[in-house]
Amino acid sequence: MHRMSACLIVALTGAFAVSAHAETRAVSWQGQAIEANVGQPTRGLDISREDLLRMAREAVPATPAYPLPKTTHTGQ
Amino acid sequence: MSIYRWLAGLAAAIALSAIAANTIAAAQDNQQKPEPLIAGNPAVPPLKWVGLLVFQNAKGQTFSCTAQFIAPKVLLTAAHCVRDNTTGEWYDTSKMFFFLQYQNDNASDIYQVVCTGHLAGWAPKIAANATDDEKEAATDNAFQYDYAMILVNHESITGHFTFETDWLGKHPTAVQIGYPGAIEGGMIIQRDPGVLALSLSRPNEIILMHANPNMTEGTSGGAWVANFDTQEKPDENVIIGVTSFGNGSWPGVTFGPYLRQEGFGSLFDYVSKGCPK
Repeated sequence: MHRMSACLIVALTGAFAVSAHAETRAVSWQGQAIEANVGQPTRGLDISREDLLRMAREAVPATPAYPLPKTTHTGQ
Repeated sequence: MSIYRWLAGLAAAIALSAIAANTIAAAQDNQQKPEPLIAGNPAVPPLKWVGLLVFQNAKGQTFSCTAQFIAPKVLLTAAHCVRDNTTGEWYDTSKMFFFLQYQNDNASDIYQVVCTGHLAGWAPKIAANATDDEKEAATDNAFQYDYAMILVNHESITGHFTFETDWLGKHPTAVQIGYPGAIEGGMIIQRDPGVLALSLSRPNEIILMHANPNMTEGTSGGAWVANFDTQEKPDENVIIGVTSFGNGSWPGVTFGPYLRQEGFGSLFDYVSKGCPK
């Protein structure tokens, strides 16, 4: 019984761990061609507020530069 | 794109700006002086509806853009902040967060992303045997569609903007808002008034001449706001554009897509409904 419970807990934990699944879509909506990326937000952030703010602080501002050859718009 | 197209576009812009300048002069006569560049106050309208969008690419590099609420759960930003159209890579929604009223390393609320969407024109399908010129033309044209919407996991706690499409001939000026990394390290939102003009480089593209060379990296996705006002009133604080890109050869000029109802309205409806199949 204890083993079954442990297996159930592991299974549930695994289900949460893979919740960040995303799916891309290309649709016609009201006559307009639209593409989308649909995620599945995790149930409750598993990242602390402090870590999220650190992520924001360390982010590189995306580059709105003219698309010269061999450059991109995200500073990559 | 050839330099000649650029020059043609700029010439047209200057001509149109002269018209707009006359409009501004008239406004000044009516004691409606354009507001000077100033750090924005995220505690009051309309900047309390704005924040920092942070995302990661597949290489694990983290970037930031500007985004703002246009409905209780819908954000507007630049399409290049949700997807790299040169590689087709969508940025991972599970590693994308919106920091409302971001300022000095703090935010009033943090949002997760449910879905992101853009018009298909942002990611044109380029034939494998296309010539370099054809590829360049396709990439150029895509910038007319450089806006995206994001559905987040809960409602804005401060409210949202309204927006207006097909507004040509109605608004001579707007205020560009955003978090430029070149000013205060991108920690404080900025607002920058400018004169609107048409770009002849692309049919659905507009430019904002604000003369501030530092409104660059980090302002991507920031709104162009007509009737900017720190009071919430009908017909005030209307989004009419969004920052797409700048060009080092033309400092103080920002380019953005012209928002047409047929595309913008459909995308808004689609994303608002959760990006259904």
